[in-house]
This record gives sequence, structure tokens and C-alpha cells, in this order.
Amino acid sequence: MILESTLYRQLEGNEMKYYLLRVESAGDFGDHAVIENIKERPLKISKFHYELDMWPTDDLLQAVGVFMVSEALAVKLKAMTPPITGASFDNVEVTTSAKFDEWHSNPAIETYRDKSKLPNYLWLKVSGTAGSDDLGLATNCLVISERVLDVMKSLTLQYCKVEEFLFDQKLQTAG
Amino acid sequence: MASSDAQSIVNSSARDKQIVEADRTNQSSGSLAELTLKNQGLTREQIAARMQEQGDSISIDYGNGRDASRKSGLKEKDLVTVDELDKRPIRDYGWGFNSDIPPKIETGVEYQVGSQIEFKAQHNKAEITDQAVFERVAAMPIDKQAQILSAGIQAYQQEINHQQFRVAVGEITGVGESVVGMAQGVDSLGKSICDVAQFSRDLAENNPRAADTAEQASKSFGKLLVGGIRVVEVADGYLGSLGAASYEGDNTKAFRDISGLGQRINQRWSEMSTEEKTSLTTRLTLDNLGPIAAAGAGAKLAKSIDVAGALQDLGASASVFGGRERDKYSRVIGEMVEKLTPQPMGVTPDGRLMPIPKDRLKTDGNMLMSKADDSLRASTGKHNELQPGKPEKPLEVTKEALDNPEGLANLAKKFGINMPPKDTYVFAGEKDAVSAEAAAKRLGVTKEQLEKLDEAVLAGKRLERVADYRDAFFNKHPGLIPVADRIYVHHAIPKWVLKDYANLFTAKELNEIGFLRGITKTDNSLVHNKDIHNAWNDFKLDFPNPTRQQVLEKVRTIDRDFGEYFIPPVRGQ
Repeated sequence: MILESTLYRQLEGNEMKYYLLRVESAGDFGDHAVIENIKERPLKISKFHYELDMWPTDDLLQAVGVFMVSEALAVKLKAMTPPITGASFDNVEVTTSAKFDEWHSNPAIETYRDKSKLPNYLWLKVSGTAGSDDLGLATNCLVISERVLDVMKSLTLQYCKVEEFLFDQKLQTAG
Repeated sequence: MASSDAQSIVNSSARDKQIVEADRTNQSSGSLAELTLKNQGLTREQIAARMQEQGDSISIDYGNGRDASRKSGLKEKDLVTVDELDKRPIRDYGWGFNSDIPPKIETGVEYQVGSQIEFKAQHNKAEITDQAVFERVAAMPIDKQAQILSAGIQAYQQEINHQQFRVAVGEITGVGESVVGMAQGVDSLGKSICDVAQFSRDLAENNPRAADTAEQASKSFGKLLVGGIRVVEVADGYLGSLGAASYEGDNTKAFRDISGLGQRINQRWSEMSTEEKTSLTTRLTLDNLGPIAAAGAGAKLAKSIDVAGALQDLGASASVFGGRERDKYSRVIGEMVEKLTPQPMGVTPDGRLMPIPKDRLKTDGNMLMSKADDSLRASTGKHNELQPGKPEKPLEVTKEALDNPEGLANLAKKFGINMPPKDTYVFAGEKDAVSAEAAAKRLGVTKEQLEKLDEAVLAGKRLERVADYRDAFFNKHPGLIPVADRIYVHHAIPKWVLKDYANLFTAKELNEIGFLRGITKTDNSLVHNKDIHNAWNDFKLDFPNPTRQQVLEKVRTIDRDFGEYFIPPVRGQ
């Protein structure tokens, strides 16, 4: 049905474009994260604990395909009309690692950053279908609609690799 | 200001001013020598006699046998008769320096109007600022700018009387003799040029002094550019078709240095990724210019191919702004130059090259490096600088540092490095090592009992004993101990492998010295570190159940892609 729907919309000529994102990773799962099976993709987790290893640049971050967004981006995504499909928000515990402190805690070194200026984050729980919902997953990547990309681009997406999600990929995903 | 007295002061005629000036008891010719004699308490008559004895300490050649000097009795005002000197063409005789005693500059430049050479100074200049002089120089054709800068370089390189240079440039730029009294602008011009040239040369020669001079040179570069002087373009022009050969003396070296700096900046720029460029320009312009100006300036810089040219454009566009704004742009330019110039390399006591941190010698009490220096110096009785040059001949340095284990151990202690490395313990399925105390506590034994357990027994308790990886790294590379606070040591095989894929590798394997990587703690290295981190994240996505071989292959590709940034560098196949 999804395939039919996608084809139909393409034939109609008003198909929404979708984009494949390789999202910045600035850390890894912390000890409090509860992961069902580490060898499964996409990962299923019931509690998200993100441990920052380095100062994050983008407003969208990931750890092995599990995503979180800055509070600023979450506010923008929640305010979209019509409401975004394929994702919801939840709490994430964010901490910093010893590695983070080694890079950023010495004021005498140029990589020093003021930890108090770290933004707040929310877990972006992606559950949609790639190429159909505003947010979905495909080939281990986040797939988002053009309108979501526009919102994300209004904030920082410097380390995020963005490429167009092609029709072939949609077929594979749907198949 | 409405009173008649006030009005008469405001509207005083030139003659009124001359009368007042003649009555003034503290008149000065503007001569620093005369001022010095005055300060020594000599009377007017004594000063006059001494000045007569001194003869021509300064002689400005106006061409056609006419010069302004104490001996000729002619002053600038006698020779100068037109208003806007800097707008008229200059006849080029080159720049000469007569080393007779007293030394004399033969500027060899003159203003030329038709067949008549007429001069007039602007005596009523109230103030000559750096910016005013820079702007006047910048307004000239490129070849004339080269001539002025060349004169400045020579004046500073030969350490001749800077006052002479000030007078000469004052004439050329039309600020007249008044520049002698308030000539910081001219001094600044020569000094700025020489700062930049010297820094560039230090970089080319890998002189560790570059670490100290970078900040000043970058400031000078920024100052020149926001003064509107396209210093790299001038240098390139001088070396190109504008007649370097026609100048006497060899100032081409300084111009080559400046030109080389431009090339070096562009080279580094071309090696940066688009993300790095955007990150750097965005940060610098946002921090210094604020969001509105940053949007335009940052984007323009980030998109440029010739960044040296783009910086000169930025400086030229900023030259029309007020002082405060110019300073902001000057900071952006200066910081860009600092970020885009390579760090000088030093030879470590174990004979390897490594970058010397640019701010290493800053007198910052919080900086561990200075403490480190003190510590080693105190032990050796010598100054323990990293030595410039290639690593083939590190013998003296090696001898000094390594023959002084006590000094090295003191330094290591300051940076939390144990010599020899201390033991740590890694529990199976965990990624981080713990101290002997913590491991003993978890096992319910004493630290001493734990230390006596052999590896087989430890394995039975699902525990491995490994040397502290940071200790191990610096024990292997003792030459890096003096800069240990600037180096981040990490595992080539990420530690999460131990936790997520137990039994794939042992903790001992991960902590082998061959699998430890050092990287300097700089913003540039942070970008590489982030790239490496992202590469491993992608690996985890793509290989949910990796084999040893796949992990080792990833290590190899990361070493290949980023090995040059490691300390010591790693050559990936």
C-alpha cells in the first residue's frame, strides 16, 4: 500500500521530496541506556542515555541510529502544521564523559567550552516509514521530508550529510 | 562659546596664531634629539650649539639638489607649495641608505608636477593616526605602496634611525614633517610590515619563535588590511612585474616572506573541508562582528577560493568604517591568519617532530606548560625549549631531557603521568579501566592481594590487568611529556568494543602501545576527532555484528585518512 501510495503521488507530480541524513554523532550510549539487543538494527531502546564525548555542533544528534534534538529544534518541529508524522518526543538523559572533559574543561586550551552552555535535548523517537512519513528510517539512516529538512536547516546541521532519498531506495524500503 | 573672547579665539587669523607661536617659550622643532637635550636640562644656547655640532642627522632629499636639513637651513615649508601631495605622481629614485656617520637616508622619492617639483606640507594636521597614514599609503598605486613598504622594511631591518624613516614616509604620504612628532602611524607601518614578514620567515624556517610572534604578526596583518593596504598583493606585485629588479638593495626577501604567507594561508585553506571553512569563518565573524555583519562577511570568506585575497577585500571594505568597527574586522582577519598558519614544529627529546603549541610561552599563570618548563629547567639548569629543525639530529635535546630522568619524572607527575606506568584493571564486558583500589574493593580483597594475583587467576575472575594507557603512551614517548597537557590519547580500537562485543578483543590488545594514538588538543584536531568518531558510528550502523577483521580494517582506514594528524603520525596502508 505504501508503494502504491508513493507511486501514485509521483505520478500525480506533486510528490514531496525526501532526504537521507547521516547525522552527527557527538557521543555514545551512556551506562543508563537500556538497549534490547546491541546487534540489532535499528536499535530498540527503552531508555535513552546519551553520553557526550565532544562538544556537539548540530541540533540533531545520534548514537547508532537513535536520535535526539535540541530543545530549540524540538519546539520548531512540534509547531509545524500539519503536525509531523513518524516521530514523537521523549526524555533523554544527557551527560558528559571523561573524554569530553579532557577536550573541553581546561580554560587554557583553545578547545575549552563552557559546559553550562550545552543545550537541553529531547529524544526524537522515529517510528515512521521512510519516504512516506515526515520522519522514517532506511538503510540505517534517518529519512525526512523536505518540509522537515527546511525546519532543521533553519538551525545548525553542519556535520549532517544530506542526500536526496531516491525512488529506488523507497522501493527497497517499501519492499 | 558665545562670548566675544571665545569667538575671537575660534576665529583667530593665521597672523594671530603666528604671534602667539612666536611668544611661546616651549617651542620645538620636532627633533627628538633636541627634546632629549632639553630634558637633560641644557639651555637654549647650549642646545643650539650641540645641534650645530651634530650636523645633518636628518636630511630629506627633495631632488634637484634641494634637501631639508639643519645644515641647509631649508625646511619642508620652504620647499613645499602644493596642497595634496599624495595625489601627485612620485618620481622613483629607489631607496638608499648611507651608512656614513651620522647615517643618512636618501629616500630617492619625490613628488613631481610637470617639470616643476613643488612641495608643500600640511602643517595644520592636528593628528596623524595609524589609520591616516595607512589610508594614505593605501590610496597610492600598488607600485608606490611597494616602494613605501620597501623603505619601511629596510628601515627596520637595518635598525637605522626610525625617525628618518618617519620623515621620509611623512613626505611621501603627504603628512609632512608633523609626522615626526606624532609618528606612531608611520612607525606602525614599518613595524607591521616587518612583523608579518618576520613571522612568515619564522614559519618557513620552522623557527619556534613563530609560536610567540604569531599573535602579534596576525594583529599587524589585520591592522594593515583594515588600513586598506593589500599587503600580499603589494608583495606579489613587487615580486612580479612592477620592477623588483629596479630597486637597489635586496628587499625582495621580505616581500617573498609576505607573499609566502599569502600562499601558505591559501594552501591551508584549500586543504580544509567546506565544513571546516564554514565553521571557522562563522565562529570568528560571529564572535567579533555580531550576527548581522557575520552573515555577509562570514559567507563571503567561507566561499572564497583565494582566502588571502578575500581577507584583503574584507580589510579594504572595513577601512571606511570607524575605529571600533575596524578593530573588530582587524581581529577577524588576525584570527583567521593565526588559524590558517601552520604551527612550528619542534624536535622532542625522543627525536620526533611535533607542533609547538602557539600559545606555549604565554605568561598565563594557569598554563601548565610554563610550569612544566620551570620544572624541567630547574632540574637541568638549562632552558628546555623544543628545538626547531628536522629530527635527524636530536642528540643534544635527547641527551638533555633523557639524561635527566628526575626532571622528566617531575614533569610527568605534574601532568598525572606515572613512570613507570601504573596498573589498572578492566572487568569483562566493561569498557573503562578502574584503579587497583576500585578493582580490589569490587573483588573483596586488598589492593596488595590483588596485585599478587597472576593473570590466570585474574582471568578466572573475569578481570584483566593492563597498564594505564595514558601512562603507557607517554612512557613510550617521553619527549611528549613537556606538552602532555596538550595531547589527547585515545585507543585506535574504540573501548566500546569491549563492552558491546565482549570476546572480540582483549583489554590488553586494545591497550597495546601500537594501538594508542595521540592527537593535539586544538580546534582543528577536534574536527578530525569528530570525523573519526562519526566514522566509527557509521561503522556500528553498518556492522551490527562485526568481526575482528572488520574492526581492524576500520582502524586501518582511519589511520590512512587521519594518521597524519596523530602524534606521532601513523601511516595507514
